[in-house]
Amino acid sequence: MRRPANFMEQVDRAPLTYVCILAYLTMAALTGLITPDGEKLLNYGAGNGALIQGGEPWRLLSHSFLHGGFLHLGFNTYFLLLIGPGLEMRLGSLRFALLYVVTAIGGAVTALLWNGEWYSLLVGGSGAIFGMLGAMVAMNVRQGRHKLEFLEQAGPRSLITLIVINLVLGLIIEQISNSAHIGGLITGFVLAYCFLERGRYAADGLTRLLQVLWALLFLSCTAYTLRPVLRWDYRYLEYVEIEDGERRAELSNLLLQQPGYTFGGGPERLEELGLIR
Amino acid sequence: MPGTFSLRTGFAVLLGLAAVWPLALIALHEASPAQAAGLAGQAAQVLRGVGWGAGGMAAAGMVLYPPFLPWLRVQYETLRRRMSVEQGPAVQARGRLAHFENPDDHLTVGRTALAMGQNAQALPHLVRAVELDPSHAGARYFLGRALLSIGQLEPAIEQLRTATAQDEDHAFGAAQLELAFALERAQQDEEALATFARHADRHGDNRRALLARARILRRLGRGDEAKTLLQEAAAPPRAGEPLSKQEQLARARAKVALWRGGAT
Repeated sequence: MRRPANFMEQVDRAPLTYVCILAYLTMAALTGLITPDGEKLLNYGAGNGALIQGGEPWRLLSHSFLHGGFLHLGFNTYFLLLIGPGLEMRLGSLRFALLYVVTAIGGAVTALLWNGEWYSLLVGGSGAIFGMLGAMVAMNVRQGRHKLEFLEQAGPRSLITLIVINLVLGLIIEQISNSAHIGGLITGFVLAYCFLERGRYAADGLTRLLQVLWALLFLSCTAYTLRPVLRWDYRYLEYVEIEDGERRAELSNLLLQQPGYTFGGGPERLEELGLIR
Repeated sequence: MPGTFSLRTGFAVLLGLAAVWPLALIALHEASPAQAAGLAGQAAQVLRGVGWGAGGMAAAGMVLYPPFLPWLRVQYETLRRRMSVEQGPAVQARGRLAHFENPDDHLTVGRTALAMGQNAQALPHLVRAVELDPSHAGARYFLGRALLSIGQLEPAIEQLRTATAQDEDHAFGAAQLELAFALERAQQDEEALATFARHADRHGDNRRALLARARILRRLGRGDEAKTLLQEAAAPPRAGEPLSKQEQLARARAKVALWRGGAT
């Protein structure tokens, strides 16, 4: 692939990367560049488990265009500039867009389901950026003469090192949601490995079945994020709205066994978020 | 057929269960929230039990059973080798076989499948390679290994015996050594001992062979000789003698056997 001669040519060949960066900067200007306002972040689509389950599923994607401060914005924009254009030129804009959307959702779903960060504000494009890193690893694995050939080369090894360093940083810094990073990384790897990148050799029946199962896993986890039937707040919202006496009694019994409802000041929290009318 | 339920198939089953689980919970919740909660609770208990059980067994194995870590290293090595198999030559061979059948290409496809752990796919190609060229010792050797991997002991012994007769030094005596191990498994003790001895004369001894010979000698009631071989197998490696993962495992097993007074 010929390297772009100048910046404008790069923008021409990788437009979506620069659209994403523009979106990052625009949303940062709207919500506060240095220290964003929490309420503004929520208004502009920050992730929040209760709101997502309460009928605002777009937050699974919109959160990835918002950031929690200047440093957060700076790091994510830098990484996107570093890896986005090359990846977009390699995959094409349509597949790059698919990668961004799916990995942003994958990262958010993992953060919500794994850590139970249901009421925290979820913002940042790092789930999608880790998804891009995962996709790059998958492409290296797919293109080798065998699955482990990529480890014999310095470039792919540096990529793995970069991922590991960032994951370690995520473990050290409390505000970073490492679960979103890991979710994005795995989603990006699986998406690229199974769907975006053709391997050297034809897929057999079992491989095709695995592809279908991975897609089903992604969809079912996303569906569960929208309808988390085991969570006390989902049950409580249903309990408040339902009229069927028998089902109400069943939900009431279950709620009384859940600490989030009985001890966590639960219903008041839902009222604050405007989910109980 | 033994060995056909591969790691990939097991992974597909687990992935399928994980993919269906959230949808099943949502569907069950529609019918009865209490049932959905009950099912989730039971599943969590089962998973916790399996997790603690597996973790406990692994910890106990590491502490109480010396061969456990070498065994893990052998499994890792096997998995790494399977993932490092270059498939290009086999793909080209398959392409040629579509137009022109020949034993070398069947052998290439069969060997590659065997190296990747796909024993069932390997077998027809190796059988055909032997049919097309009955004098090919290498084809018989790989066919013997494929038959051993699916538990067909007697047919494997027949192929390995023929391969050894055709070329005793094939692959530095690999066919002969494999034959000796197969005979030991089939409890054809005298022939196994003779084959091990012949291999040791020509290619030197190794820890796996020493352990197998000790097992045979014990079966034949020659306990003292068995113990000598076990001590040799359990001895620390000499300077400049790197042990393969398989040999490390054999050494650990020999140590355990000596603790048990020679019982293997």
